[in-house]
Formats: sequence, structure tokens, C-alpha cells
Amino acid sequence: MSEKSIPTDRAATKSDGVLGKRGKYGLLTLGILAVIIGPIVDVIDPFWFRLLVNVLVFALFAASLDLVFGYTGLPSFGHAAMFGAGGYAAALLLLNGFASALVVLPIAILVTIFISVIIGWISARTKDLYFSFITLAFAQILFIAAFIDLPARILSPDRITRGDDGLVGVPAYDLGVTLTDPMYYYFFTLVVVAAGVYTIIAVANSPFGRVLRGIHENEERMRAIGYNVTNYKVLAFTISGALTGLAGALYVPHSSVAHPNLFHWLVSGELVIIVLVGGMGSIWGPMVAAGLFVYLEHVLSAFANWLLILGLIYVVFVIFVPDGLSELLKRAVRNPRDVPNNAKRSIKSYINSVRYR
Amino acid sequence: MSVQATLLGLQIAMAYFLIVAGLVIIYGMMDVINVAHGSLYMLGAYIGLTLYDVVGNFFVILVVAPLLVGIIAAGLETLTIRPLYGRHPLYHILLTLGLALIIEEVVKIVWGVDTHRIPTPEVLSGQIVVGSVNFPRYRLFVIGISLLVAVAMYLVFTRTKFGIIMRASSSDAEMVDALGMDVSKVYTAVFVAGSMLAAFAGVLMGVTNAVTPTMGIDIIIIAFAILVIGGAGSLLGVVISSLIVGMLVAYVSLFAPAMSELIIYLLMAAVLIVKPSGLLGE
Repeated sequence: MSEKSIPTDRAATKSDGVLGKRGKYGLLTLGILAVIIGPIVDVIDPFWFRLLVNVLVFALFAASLDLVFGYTGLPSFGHAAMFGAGGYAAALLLLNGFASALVVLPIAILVTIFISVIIGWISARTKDLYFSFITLAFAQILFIAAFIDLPARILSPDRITRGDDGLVGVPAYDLGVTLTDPMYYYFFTLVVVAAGVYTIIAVANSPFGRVLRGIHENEERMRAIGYNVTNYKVLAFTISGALTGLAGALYVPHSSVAHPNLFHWLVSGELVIIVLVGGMGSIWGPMVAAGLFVYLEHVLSAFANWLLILGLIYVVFVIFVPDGLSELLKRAVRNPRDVPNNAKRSIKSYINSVRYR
Repeated sequence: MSVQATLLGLQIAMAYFLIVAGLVIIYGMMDVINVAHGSLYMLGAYIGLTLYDVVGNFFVILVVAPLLVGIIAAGLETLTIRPLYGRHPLYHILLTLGLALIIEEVVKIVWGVDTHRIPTPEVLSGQIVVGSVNFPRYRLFVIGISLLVAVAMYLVFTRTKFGIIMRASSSDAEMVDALGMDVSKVYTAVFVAGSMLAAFAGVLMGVTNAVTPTMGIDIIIIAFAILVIGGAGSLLGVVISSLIVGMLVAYVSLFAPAMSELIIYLLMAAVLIVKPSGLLGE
């Protein structure tokens, strides 16, 4: 069992929990860096500045997914459901006269909590691949519901999700001042994302989080000890879902569009890729990978086929670096001289496994 | 009207069955959930399309395109899937998701993003009229040949040495290995066979449905739904769920075309809630 289970950040199993002291300082440094770097990037190129908001949003999304995927061991392939739900909830409110972030964000979170509880409650009854499939099914249901404007078909003659057109012209939040200015929106996002990531780390390191870790390591034992494993799973899924919805609610006003593609399974798929490349269960690895992902997407799509390169990088990671960037970096820091040897060894074992005897 | 819908439902069900049967034998034997399976289905259609320009005979491409896809599948299995045996099954999902992305992009580069269609062969165009009911020839052909393939598959599994080795490998790979059989070759063969089924379905559906770069990812999610509804390890379960889903799609399309896909996922969710292992799964 332990041999075949999904490997995760080994530090997380030690007593200092996910992200040791150094990791926390590292994240804090990244946060401070984000404060300084934002205005500088804005001076250099406003377009890149807008990308920074996406980096933050996807970092939060990736960290949220990692909490259930890598940390608790629930392979969700349907997190786009919550991302889209948060996004659509925010868009509908903003377009209908609610502008205050203090009203819209909490409601968007409540909507995603509602959806996560339903999806989580049903999905938590299944395991492994079935968990993947059922979460995927729910995301597809929401995708189609938004695509064919199911709410309008049921409720009213007016269009609600506006189908394939999506909701366009979603205005920015209001927080005393309107956050139309990209600089305001950036700092607003930074604060909200920081709070979200703080929540995730606090949850992971709490006694509750230790139970989740225990469920990942050995579910039967946790059940035997007397934990209600299903309830823990549902709660973990809901926390993760709520924060994913928050990411969606930050993303949509920034791009000013809510399109059914927010729910698309490729969104879930890309986030799963990010979590794996970053290093499952480390929380910080997927956040870094999310940043790289947004950055590379915009650098590469200018002159090359971005999705092809993403696919190739990703396949190489799955085969050669299944622990992800976080473990790779940790090993490199611990023992820099071993890096070439490790690379040689993994290539050798790859060749051995590919060859026919 | 309802005869037409039933025929359409049967045709859809048969195409689904060919695709999902490939998924099932690969999963059943190798424990690999192949997300790129839909992409191999798509490759079948595209390679068929190009071959048609060269040879101009539908029946030739129906045989040759799956063979070519089989060669590609053998390469994929050897180079990417094989190194991951023994790891958590999740890794195969993750890996093949990457392969699906890559294949879709390669298809866009090679064939472009336009919609194509494989022409209907002369012999199979038109209708057979019985009384007041029209039976489109091509539809009957698809249903007939798929049934043939299904029967052939059953015979291979139960009556041939290859089938016995395959089933033995799935229940006790180490024992088969100890008896001197190379299990990794069996796995490659199974993967190639499953992929060829998908490619075969791709050529068949390329005549009636649009051939587009997204047809692979569009079909794979539905294929998973059928797999889950039927029960992941069960070929008979997949026969039944293909029929249910095919009929549902055909009949729901009569009244509310937009809803047909929604119904599939709702059914999948319902089945998973009531019986998580699927209709006929253990």
C-alpha cells in the first residue's frame, strides 16, 4: 500500500507539518517580493503587470487543489466546477448592481461552498479513480448547464448564463474606490490570495489537517481508530472548493468575461498538471508551478505551440520527476553534487524499463 | 420516426462500444486508464482521411488506418506507459492526459483546425426501403460490422491462446512471467489491440460525424462515463451501458438536443451514487 500510494512531500509527514519554518519564510519573502515587483513591472510593461494577477489567482487555485489532491489524496478532476461557480456567481452579482467586494466575494464563496458540499458529499463515498470520474462528471454537468443556459431554461425567459457568449463586460469590484485601476486590483488580489493561502497552510497544519494526512497515508486505520473519514473528506473538499471559488471570483472581473470554458475539464486537467509538476502535497510547489505555467504560456504562445510544449514538459515530469519540482529542488539544495548522478540514474532506469528483455 | 431514432441510437451505441471496449480491455488487463484513447480514435479518423485521398477506397482504409494507429500505439506504450507500471494507477491517467494534449496539438499542426469528413462509400450510400420505413445503408453497415467485431473479440478472448495468455496476465502477471511468457509484450499487444478498436471506430464515425481536432477529447469524457456506468472491468457491462447511453442520446436528441450530453453525466452520477462499482462491476 505505502509503496504504491501517491508519493508526496515527505517533509509534510514530519512533525513540523507542511512547509517548515524555512518554507514559511520563503512564502513570506515571495509575498513581499510580489508587493515590490508589482509596481516595477507596471512601469516596464502594463501587459505583464496584468499577467501577475493571473499568477496570483492560479497560485491560489493550485494550492487549493493540492490541499485535496496531494495532501488528502483525493484525486479531483473536477475542480473547474468550483472555479467556474465562483466566477459565475461573482459575474452575475457584479453585472446586476452589486459592486462591493465585501458583499460579492462572501456570496460567491457561499455559492461555491454549497456546490462543493453537494459534490464532495456524493464523491467522498467513492475512492481513487472513481473519485476522479465523479468529480469530472459534476464539472461537466455544470459546463453543459452554463453552455446551454440551463438556469434560464428552467427559471425564466431571460438569458442568465448567456450560453456560449458568456457574460461579458463584468466590472471590477468596489472597495470604497472602484478597483478598475490595475494597480488597485493587483494589491487587492494579493491580499485576498495571501489570506487564502494562509488559510490553506493553517488548515494543513492544524489537527484537522493531520487527520487528512492520516487519511491519505492509511484510510482504513483512520476509520478503525474512529474517525468519520467521509466527513473529513467532505470538509476538506469544501474548504478547497471554497478557496477555488474565491480564485474564480478574483479571476472573472479581472478578465471581465465569464465563459462556460471556466468549467471545462481541461481547466481541471491543467490544474492537475500544475499540481503534479509542482510537487503533490507540498502546497508551495504547485503555487510556484502555477506562476511558471502562466509565465511560460504567455512567453511561448507568441512563437511556439504552447500546449504542445506543456504536454511534452508534463510527460517528461510524470516519467522522470513524479515527485515534482518541490522534491527536485529540495534534493538539489540538500546535495547539489548528486544532481547529475540522480539524472543519470533515472535515465538509465528509464532505458532499462523500456527495453524488451 | 422512432425507427430512425432507434437505428441512430444503435449506431451511436455501437461506435461507443468499440471505443469503450478498447478502454475496458486496456484497463482490465493493464490497470491503465488511458485518457489518450479518444486521441487514438481521432488519429484513426484523420489517418483514414489522408489515406482516402491516396487510395480512394473506404474498405481499404478501414483496415489500414487502424493498423497504422496500432504502430503509433505500440510506440506510445513502450516509450511512455511501460516505465510507469507498478506505480499508482493515477500516474497513468496523468501521463495519458499529457499524451492527449500532445496528440491534439500534433493533429492541429498536421491537418489544421478545419472540419473534415470521410466520404460515404458508393455501395453504402442511400437507403433500403422496407414498406414505409427507410433504413440508411451506412447505418446498417456500422451496426453490422461492429457486431462482427464484438463477436470476434469474444472469440479471441475465450477461444484463442492469445486470449488465454491475456486473461492469465490480468489475473496473475507474475505467474505468467514465471511460465516463460513475456508479460510486457502481452501488455503492448493489449494496448495496441485496444487502440486499433478506437481507430476503427474513428474511421467509421468519420463518415457520419465531423472530423475535428477536438473529437478526441469530446469522446473520451463520454467514453469514461460509459465505462463507469457499465462497471470498469466488465465487457458485458460496457455493452449494456453503451446501448443505454446510445439510445438515450438518440431519443433525447429528438426532444431536446442540448440535453443529451447532460443526461449522460447525470446518469453517471446517479449510477455512482447508487452502485459505485457500476452496473456490472464487482
